This record gives sequence, structure tokens and C-alpha cells, in this order.
Amino acid sequence: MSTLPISTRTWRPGLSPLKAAMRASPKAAIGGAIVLMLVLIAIFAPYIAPNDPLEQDLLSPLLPPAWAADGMAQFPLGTDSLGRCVLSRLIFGTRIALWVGLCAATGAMLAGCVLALIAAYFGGRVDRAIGYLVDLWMSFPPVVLSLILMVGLGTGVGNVILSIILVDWTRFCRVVRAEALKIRRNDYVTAARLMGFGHLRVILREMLPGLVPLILTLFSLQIGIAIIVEAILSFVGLSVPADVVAWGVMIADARSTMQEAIWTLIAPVVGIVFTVFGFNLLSDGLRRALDPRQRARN
Amino acid sequence: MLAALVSHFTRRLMVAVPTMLALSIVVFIVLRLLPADPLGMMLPPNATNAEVEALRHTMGLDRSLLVQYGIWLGQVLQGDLGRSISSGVPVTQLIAHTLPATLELSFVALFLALLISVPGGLLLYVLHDRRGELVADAALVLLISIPGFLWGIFLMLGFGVYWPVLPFSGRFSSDVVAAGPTGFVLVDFLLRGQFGHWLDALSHLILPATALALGFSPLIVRVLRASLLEVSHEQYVTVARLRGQPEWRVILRHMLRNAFLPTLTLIGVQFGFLFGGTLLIEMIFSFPGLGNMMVQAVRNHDLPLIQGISLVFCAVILLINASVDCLYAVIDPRLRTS
Amino acid sequence: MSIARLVRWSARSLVSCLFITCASLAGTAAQAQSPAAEEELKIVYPVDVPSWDPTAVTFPAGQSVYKAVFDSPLFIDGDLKLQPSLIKSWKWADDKNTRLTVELRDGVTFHDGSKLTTEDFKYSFFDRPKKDKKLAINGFFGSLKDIEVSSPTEATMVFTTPTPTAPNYLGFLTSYILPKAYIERVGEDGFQANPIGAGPYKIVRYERGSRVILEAYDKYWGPKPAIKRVVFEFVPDASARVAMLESGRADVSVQIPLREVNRLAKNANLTAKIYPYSEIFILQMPSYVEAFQNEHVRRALHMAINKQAISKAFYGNVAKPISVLATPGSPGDVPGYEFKFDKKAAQEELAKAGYGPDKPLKIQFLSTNNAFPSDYEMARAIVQMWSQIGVQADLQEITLAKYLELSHSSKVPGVMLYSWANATGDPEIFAGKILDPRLRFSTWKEPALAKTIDDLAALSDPAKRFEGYQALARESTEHAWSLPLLQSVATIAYKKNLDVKVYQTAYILPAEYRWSK
Repeated sequence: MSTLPISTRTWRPGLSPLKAAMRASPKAAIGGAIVLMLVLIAIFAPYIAPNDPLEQDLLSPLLPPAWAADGMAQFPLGTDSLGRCVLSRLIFGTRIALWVGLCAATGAMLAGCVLALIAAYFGGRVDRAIGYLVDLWMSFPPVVLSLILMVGLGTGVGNVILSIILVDWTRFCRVVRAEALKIRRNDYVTAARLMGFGHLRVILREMLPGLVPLILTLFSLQIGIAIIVEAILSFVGLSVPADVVAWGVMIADARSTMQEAIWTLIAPVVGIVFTVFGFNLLSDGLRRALDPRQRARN
Repeated sequence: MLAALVSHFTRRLMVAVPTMLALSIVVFIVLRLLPADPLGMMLPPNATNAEVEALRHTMGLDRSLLVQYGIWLGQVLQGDLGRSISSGVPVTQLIAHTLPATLELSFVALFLALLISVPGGLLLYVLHDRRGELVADAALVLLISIPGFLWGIFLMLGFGVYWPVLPFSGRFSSDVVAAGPTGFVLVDFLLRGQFGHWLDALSHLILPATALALGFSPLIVRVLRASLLEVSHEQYVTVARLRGQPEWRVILRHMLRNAFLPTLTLIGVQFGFLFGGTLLIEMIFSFPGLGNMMVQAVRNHDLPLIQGISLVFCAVILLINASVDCLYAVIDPRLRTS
Repeated sequence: MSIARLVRWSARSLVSCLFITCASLAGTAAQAQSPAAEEELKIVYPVDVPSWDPTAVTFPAGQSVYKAVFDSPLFIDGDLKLQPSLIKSWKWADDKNTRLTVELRDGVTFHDGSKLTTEDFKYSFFDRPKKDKKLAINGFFGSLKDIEVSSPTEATMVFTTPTPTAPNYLGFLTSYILPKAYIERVGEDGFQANPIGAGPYKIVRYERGSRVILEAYDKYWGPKPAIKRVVFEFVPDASARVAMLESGRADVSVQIPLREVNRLAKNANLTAKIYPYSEIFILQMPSYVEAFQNEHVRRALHMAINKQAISKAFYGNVAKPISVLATPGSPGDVPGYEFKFDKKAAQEELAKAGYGPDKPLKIQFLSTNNAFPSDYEMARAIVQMWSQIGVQADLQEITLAKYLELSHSSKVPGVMLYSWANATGDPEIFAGKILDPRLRFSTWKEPALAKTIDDLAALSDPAKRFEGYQALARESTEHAWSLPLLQSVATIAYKKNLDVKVYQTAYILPAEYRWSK
């Protein structure tokens, strides 16, 4: 029989478990490293990229990568149908991907968590109403809803972000609400209420901290999802304008030339998959490491 | 028991009605946000403004949003979803032709997904706390990171272009006639004993269904593995192990059944995800289903068609959710009371 | 031990899955081996028809499908000349071009065996459109007052105003003769479910969004098609169309990406062609948007575009740059007149309007993506060219449907890259329609042109008319009301042992194809 490890420290929600988690979980570490690398690439894109991602060279379309027979050293990964450097576009695409991901995830998080906390805190009819709203929203296939929203709102980076927020806030709301309901039932929350603290203070000081790990996990996951949704919308042709470098647009463009120039497809695919992989890994690692039940078991 | 199940089902369906109503309002409003005039395409270019106004009046587009919605709702309740702007064909007819194709595709995809993910989930569970878990885990996260439509592109490139063994467009070949009772070709051809045609339809379904399944399976694998881990600590499992039963029997006999419940929930919840995924897959494979029609309708701003298909999507998902709920009650006796 | 058991169980399920796959592969392979009847021709086509009423919509892309099933009164041949079709002969009964007497061919039948007479002609072109104002055919015969039927084969079209170009329209979009008795008997919905026409092929089966299967009509009045069974497969995805041809699943592939043509041409079993046809790429200018109201701005935008470079980059140098709103060699063309590409002059012209690289002009730019070959690419190349003279164009992808909506309500926010189809080659349908301010899809509203165009339309002397249109086209380019870019090109690829004809109208006419041995 194994002895259950008895935790001698009281469970204090906060940032230190985060650091311990990173050390304990290689997944979170690797995921975090990938995300960090992507952020750096995005920030330093103008210095890293060999060429201007928007500069067209109509005389050299669809050049193969530099190591192939007709390739040029100036374009390490070749060029697309407009003669633009694939590698530069790949690098600059990180910016939009992270920007869309971050904004959409933040928006969805704020909208979802606020409603979740209100639902869990007040309970009763408010909870039922919000719960019903979430169920209602989720009975719609996300892709279809985003499409319709884009038709109604119009194209553009802002609208893509808005569309993702409007679809995915439910993910945050449902999961956080379930967890918040559990926390609500804890004694210290009831104690705080009895002591006369205001609603806002109780929510922010007593309930929210325990939810931070979960929210972080979902946040990371959501960024990955937002990047994929942008790719899907670009694929259908309802996403960002032409002067924005986005991986989804690169994939959509590459489709008509993919039999001749497969690298124009592979580069953005790798970009998307790798980025989403990094965020998913991070999200997974955080969830595993911050889940108190799993930690106890380990 | 059956009576209880039926009442459970009907109760769920009744809850679904206001849901569909609310959703129809949302879709109606969002589509009316369009800044431009949907009438533009319906009249010849030399139509006068008077004619435009006349058409607007006939179609009721000059009334308030509420009245328009009321009219549309009234028609829907009578089974009339309007006519498509681009083709003039009744929306119900268009949907009736394409819904079975998409449903069939989704179910085959679901079947394939289960075929892949149940062994996959078991494998990952078995690798828990062993060598190779990290790699398998990372592989799983990688697979989750690949969106379904990319699988579609890869499969089309792989098996359609580079190694042309499978057809990658359409639902069946041109010499095949589908005139079955159900609209599900796999069922119809079997019922009529036309095995050649059955194989033909299946070969057309494989690539798009596999693409959908590959997008969906990693999620199932993850949930299955997690729930197997949870269940493995339950008392009855420990008891079975103590009784000396071999591990594999413990897993298959005892654990899988109970671990499957969360998986079922996931499938129910995520069926919308699968169903929505058919949009892009059908586009890539030129599969004449509801998803493809929705994409065309969105591109053509065919409002009646968009509204009609949205309602149908919603209805299908609510139905599936209700069914999954009931299935849940069947599998888990604890849920049957109430 | 237990793990091994588990692995075996997993392996078993995976193997059964593989077995099913192999079985179906074998099944398909077996089917693919047995050649589909040599007499069947499979054409992969980019679009499905929106409706089986060919008079209801102006849909240039679907005309080839319509022409297989329905026949028009007149036919525009490969040299863009009007030829008799269902109408044997036609002549003007008066010198004011308001009464056109036509003689229908005798002995023509619809696919259900019923005779085609002037009753059907009147029904299709007058009675039915008058009842349903939504039919697009109303847009082409707006001045038709009546059709007087004098015999089952003779009728006279009566127009309210002189319409010398009426015969052109009898061979153009939406001009098809439909069966009156049949439609009245089965109703519009019945007709949509089982369409019949007087064309060389009749419909065996139509699977919406998938394909239409056609069979040669044995009582067709014209030359009997050599290929008895034709299938139009609707595959919107361009790379899928190419793949189907390469893998042998199709015999003819239409509108494939231009780069693929070069690649396919190297294939020993295939023939691939790029050919120019009667359609032009233009930039539509909205006269109601302030930025475009300054003529210097518009002219500068035109001068900054290097059309030859675009043709070379995206159209294999086959698309000819044009300087007026007409295809080269057509009656509306102005030979010898060239609006040259001149970057420096463009900058100077833009400076006259007060803009330049230090004070860039910001405009909106709309383009479709994959509505016609390399459209979005060309748009992006143009954005780059404009940025070099100090114009910042914000390019948005747009669907054709959305553009038409905007244009009909005069809400187009910027320049629009458009492909203007005109199978007749007649300048009335080029400059005449593009610049007519009264039409709801023109974006440049110059009110004075209404009278100019009306006067030109009424001129019965073709030489004078063409002269007038040439002057109009030239004026249009000088004032940059609409910017002509290139003549469009079409692509086609097919099996080498197929005898295929291509036309300036870009019609795909399987009735004229044959297998060569």
C-alpha cells in the first residue's frame, strides 16, 4: 500500500505553483519554450526575415527553395505566385497569428469568465439563465456561426477577432462556471460573505484566485483554436485584407499552385501546426501540473 | 423503462424548441446586418427603382424587422423555408437532397473516428507511466493541433493526386443512380443488393470521412485516456484485479464501459464540431452535401438558404444531443431515476 | 502478457479497418478498369447552373451547360459572327429598326417531341418575361413591345425604340426558346425538376452540386453529336479539376490555373491550351466616392499599371493589354490607340491632384478571389504598382454576390476588379453597357452618356455606330471613367485523342467534339 503524501503546506492559490509546475512538467516547459520562441520571432520579425513579406517580384513567381535546382539564395524557402518570399511571409505571419490569438483569447476569456463568475456567485435564476444562454450558444456548430458572423460583420482582422470571441466565449463560460460553482460552495467564500464583504470583493479576492490556473490553461488552448479559426475563415475567403500576412491566407493561396509548388503549402501548414502545437502543449502541461488532484497523486 | 426513456427524450426535445427559436432570431438579425441590398441580384440590371421598390414590397422587405421575422416564422411553422435566391428552388427541397449526404458522411466519419480512437485511447492508457508515454503524448497533442481541413488537403494530395487510387470528388460515379428509400446510399444500395454501387459510394466516402475522423479522433483519444485513468482507481476495478483477473479483461470488461460515458458526452457535445467540419471537407472534396451548399449560400448571400440551413444544422445537433442524453441514461443506470 | 493481448486487440480492429479499405480499393480499381462506355465524355466544369431556367439569370460561366440543353434563336460562332440557329433568317421590316421579322426553322422539336413554333418564341421572349419581371431576359429586351405571330414559323418583333442591335441579343445571354406547352402543363417547379429544351442533348439526370448527365437528342435539327453521352461534373476546386484530368477520371478540364497549363502541356497524353476570348478585365470606378472624382487621380491610377508585366506574370503573356473598353480586333476597338504605362507620368498626374509618396492617397480596392483566373493575384500586383506612385490601396476580397449587391445600391466603396463578358463582341455590350449611367450595375454615373448611348443604339448604319462607340471608348479612357486592363484568357486541357474546338466565345460545346483514333 502506498502512503498518500500529506501536504504540509496549506494550499495557497497564486503564482508559485505555476513555477513549480513548469519545473515538474516537461510538457509545459517545452510548450512554454515554443511559445516564447514564437513571441520573439513575432517581435523581431523585421530583423529576422530576409525580405519584405509584401514585396512582389512578378518576374520570379513560384521559385523553389534555395537548395533546389532553380532556387535563389535570396529566397530561402522560395517564392509564392506573386514572387513574395515565403520565409519572410512565414515569419511575419507569426505576428498576426499571435495578435489574433491573443486578442481573441483575451476577449473570450473576459466575456466568458465574467459571466461564469456572475452565474456561479449569484446562483439561482441568474445561473440558470446564463447556463441556458451557454447551452443555446453551443448548439450551433462553431464554423457555421463564425461564417454567418463574418458575412454579417464583414471582413477584416478586427471582425475576425470579434467573430472568434462571439463564438468561443462559451467554452470559457461553461468550464469556468463548473469550477466556480465548486469553489462557491467552499466555506471561506461563505465566510467572506457573512463578514459583509461586497460582491465584487468576494468574487475577485476569494473565488477568482482558485480559478486562475484553469483560466490560464483555457487561455493557452484558446489561442491555438483562434489561429485555426483564422485559417478556416481565410480558406473560405472571409478573413483579412490583402496587405495582412496571415498563414491561413497563405494556405488558401497555395491551393491553386500546390501541385507545382508544394513548399508554398508546407510552410504555412508547418507554421500553423507548430504554433498550435506549442500552445496546446503548454495548455496541457499547465493543466496537468496545476491540477491539485494529479499533483497529490504524483 | 421504455416509457421513462421516451418521456426523457420528449422533455429534451421540448427544451430544444425555444432554443431553436432563439437561434433563428440570432441568425435572422445577424444576416440583416448586411449593409447592402440582397435584392440587388434578383432583378435585371435595367430595372427601374420603382420595380425594385415593388419587389421589396412583395417580399415584405420594407416592413420592420419584427414583422419580417414573424412572417418568416409563420412560414417555417408551415414547413415553408422560402426559396433560394440564386436558384428559385424551395429551400426545403434543396436541404432534403443534401442533408442525407452530410449525415451519412458524419456518421461514417464518427464510426471511423471510434475505430481509430478506441484502440488509440487504450494504447495511450496502457503506456501510462511507462517509457514512450512522453512521445505518445506529444504525438497526441501534435495530432490535436492539426485542423480537419488540413487533413482533407493532405488526403486529397496523397490519395487523389500523387497516388490516384481513390476518387476525391462527388458522392458516387456518374453511372450510379441513387434512388433509394432512405437517401443514405450505403443503406440503399445494400437494401437493393447492388454491391458494386455500394463499393463505389463507399470509395467516394472514404477520403472525406477519414479527413473528418482524423480531425476528431485525437479529442476522443484524449478524453478516453483521461477517463480510463480516472476509472482505474475505482473500487470495483481494484476488486477485479484482486480477484486475479488478467489486466486486459479488467480493462475491456469493466473499465471501458464506464470510461466510455465521458467519451459519449464529448461526442455529443462535439458532434456540432464534427458536423460543422463537414463544411470545409465537403468544399475540398466537392461533396454535394449540406456543408458545401452552406458555403455556396454564404458566398452568394442567399439569405433564405442560409437561414434554412442554419435552422437544420441546429435541429440536427439538438436531436443528437437529446439522443446522446438518452443513450447516457441507457448505459448508466444511475441516471435513469428522475 | 496483458499488454500483448491489448495490442493484439487493437491490431485486430485496425486490420479490419484496413481490410475494408483494401476491399473498396479493389472494388474501385475493378470498376476503373472496365472503361466507361467509350461514347461517354466527362467534362469537369467549375460551376453548377443556379437554375434550369436559362432566361432567369445572366450567368456567363454557365452558358456552355445551357447551350447543350437549350438552343438560342441565333448563335454566335467562333469568329463572333451571328449565325442562324433556331431562326433561319431575319430581316428588318422597316427602315427605323423597330420591326424585325424572323423566320424560324421548320421541323424543330423539343426533347419531349413537341414542335417548336413561334408560339414558343413569343412565350419565351415576351409573354413569360412580362409576367415575371425578375427574369433577367427582361434586361436585354426592355424595348420589346410585342411579338406578332403571323405563322408557326414567322413572327415579327416590335420595339418601342429603334433597336438595330436586336439580333445580337438573340444570340446572347438569357436568349433561349423554352417550351410553352410543357411549362404551362407541368408548372415552373415541374420544369425545374425536369427541364427540356431544343438543344443537341437532353438531360438524363441532374444531381445538384454534383453533375448533370446528358444524352444526345436523336431528333436534333442540327448536326448530330458524335459523342452520345456527356457528363458535366461540377468541381469548383481548380486543383481538383486538374487532378481529375491527370488521374484519368475526366476527359476535359476547363478553367484550370494558368500555371498548370504549362505543366500539363508536358504530359504526353494531354493537350493544354490558353486562348484569349471575348471578355475583358476592367477596373470599375465609383463616381460617387470622393477620392475618384478627381480625373487626375483616375488617370494616374491607369498610367501606373504595367499591363504587360501582369500578362507575363499571370497569363503566360497570352492576355493582350487593352487601352479601350473592347477586345482587340472587335468593332469597338480603336486600333493604334494606346494608353501607355508610364510610372513617371503617373506620379506627375497624381501630383496634380495633390498626392504623392509623401502624401499618399488612400483608396479602397475590391477584388474577387477565384471568380476568374488569377484575379486576386492581379489585384495584389496592382496594389504594389500603385504603392510605387503614392497610392495606398486597401485591398479586400469580396464575393461576386456581395459586389453586385453593393453596385446595385450604389454603395461600392472603391475600385473593383471585374471581368466583363461579351460573347457578341459588339461595342454596345462593352462600352455601351459599362458606361450607361441608368443601369444599376454601372459604377460610373456620367448622366450625359445616357443620351450618347441611346443615340448610338439607334443608329442603323453599323459603320457609323462602330465609329461612335470607338469615340466613346476613347473618351472613356481619356477621362478614365472605367479602366481597361487586359483581354481575358481561358484555359482548357483534354485528352490527346479527343478532338476539341475552342472559340472566342469560350463556349464548351461537346456536341462538336469527337474521339479521334
